[in-house]
Amino acid sequence: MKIILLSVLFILPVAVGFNLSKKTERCYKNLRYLSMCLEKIHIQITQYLMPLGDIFYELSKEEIKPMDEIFLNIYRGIENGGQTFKNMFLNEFEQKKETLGFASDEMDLIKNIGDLMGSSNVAGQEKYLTGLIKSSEKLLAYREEQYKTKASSYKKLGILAGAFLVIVFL
Amino acid sequence: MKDVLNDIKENILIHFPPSLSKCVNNTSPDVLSNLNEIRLRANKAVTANGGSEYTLAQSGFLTNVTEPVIASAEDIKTIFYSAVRQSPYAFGEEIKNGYITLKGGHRVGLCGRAVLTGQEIATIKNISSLNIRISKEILSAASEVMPLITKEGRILNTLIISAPSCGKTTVLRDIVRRLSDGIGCLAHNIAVADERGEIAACANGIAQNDVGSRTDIFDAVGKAQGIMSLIRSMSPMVIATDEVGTYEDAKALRAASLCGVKMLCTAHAYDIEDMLTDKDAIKKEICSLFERIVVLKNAKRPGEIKAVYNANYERIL
Repeated sequence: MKIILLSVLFILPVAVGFNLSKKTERCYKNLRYLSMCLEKIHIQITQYLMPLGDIFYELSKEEIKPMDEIFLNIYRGIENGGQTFKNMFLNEFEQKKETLGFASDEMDLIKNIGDLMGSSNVAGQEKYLTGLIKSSEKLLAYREEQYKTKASSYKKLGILAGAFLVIVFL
Repeated sequence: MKDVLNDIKENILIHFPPSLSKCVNNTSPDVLSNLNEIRLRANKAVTANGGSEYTLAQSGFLTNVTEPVIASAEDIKTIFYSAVRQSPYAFGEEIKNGYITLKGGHRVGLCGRAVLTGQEIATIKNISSLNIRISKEILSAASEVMPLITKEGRILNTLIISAPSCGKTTVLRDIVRRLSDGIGCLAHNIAVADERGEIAACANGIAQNDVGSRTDIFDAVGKAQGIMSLIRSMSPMVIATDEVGTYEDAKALRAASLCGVKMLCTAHAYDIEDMLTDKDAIKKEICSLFERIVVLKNAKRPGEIKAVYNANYERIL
């Protein structure tokens, strides 16, 4: 009984630490992929005038989870018509917010993308997308820093807290 | 033949916000399938035309409506963005020209605030009115006209003229299909310069309308430019194009006729006098290139012939 209790006391903080670490990692990796997609979208829009539906369909085929599902749903939303891009883009990311590990900063970026992407002519898109790429790069640099420093710290802290609790109860 | 009701639902109403499409869907199938156009203006009642004038109510398009459904500016915006697949930047030329072609060949006319670059319209912003013209593919539209524009199974240079909405494009499309498939004549290789996308209604390069098995389509290209390019690239027996009327069109058509390519065109005019008495003589110049000029009636059924003239402008029907 004592061993079980000690095991639980050890595992709980370790699990919390690993979970926080995973979330930081997920957030960083998904944001990095989103930034990369933004650059691709920028080229597809400004150089090839490719419609957003086709761009998101192509992106969905890259099968990077869970973004591929989001992109496929956005593509379907565009093709099915009758709603604004802003709403469908934000809704899709809002639904997958937890899986993506996105926090409010990332969701603000998503909201801005939804507001501006596809809303204007090529010159406008060039300007807006350049701005959005800069914002995402800035946020990415911050998340990268967090990932490098905090991700491993969360794990260590979890293990230490677990060990501390075990020692205290012993 | 297209299922008009399904076509309207799948290719037009899909772009409407749910509040409006629900009301339109309540329209009786008879009325809905006979509609020629739907007009939406910001903060005004939604109207439609199809023989009679209709106004949209909660129970569909009706002739006498006390409580009409009002289209908001947001509704217009939603339809516009949906029609351009949320990508107005990809439809720059079409928006500049004031219309977008939907799947199925339906055309959405745009009106709003013009943004000018010098004297030219660069784009249209704050779209406040939409006129959705419903394209109808009628596979028998040219049955009456075919014997009059062919000789020994070969097409003669033919110009179809009529007032707007009398079915010029519908008739042209059916002639193209018949010539291409060799229905009632020899089969011809045809090239279509489809500037407004109304003849073949291409979506992603694939013709949505039946334009025959030997037809090449050059989509969204200026007529004059398209004709010259098609002669060089596709060596067609016949070139078909819609709504000719400028000096450049006349020049390109002359070049085509010098190459021995037969021409099949339409033009806006009420009658042949309208073409021949044109002030700057461009329409007269265009007429001189054709062996047959077909004038259509302003009738309920598209393709009803009012008169046919030969190359000397003598009435032969």
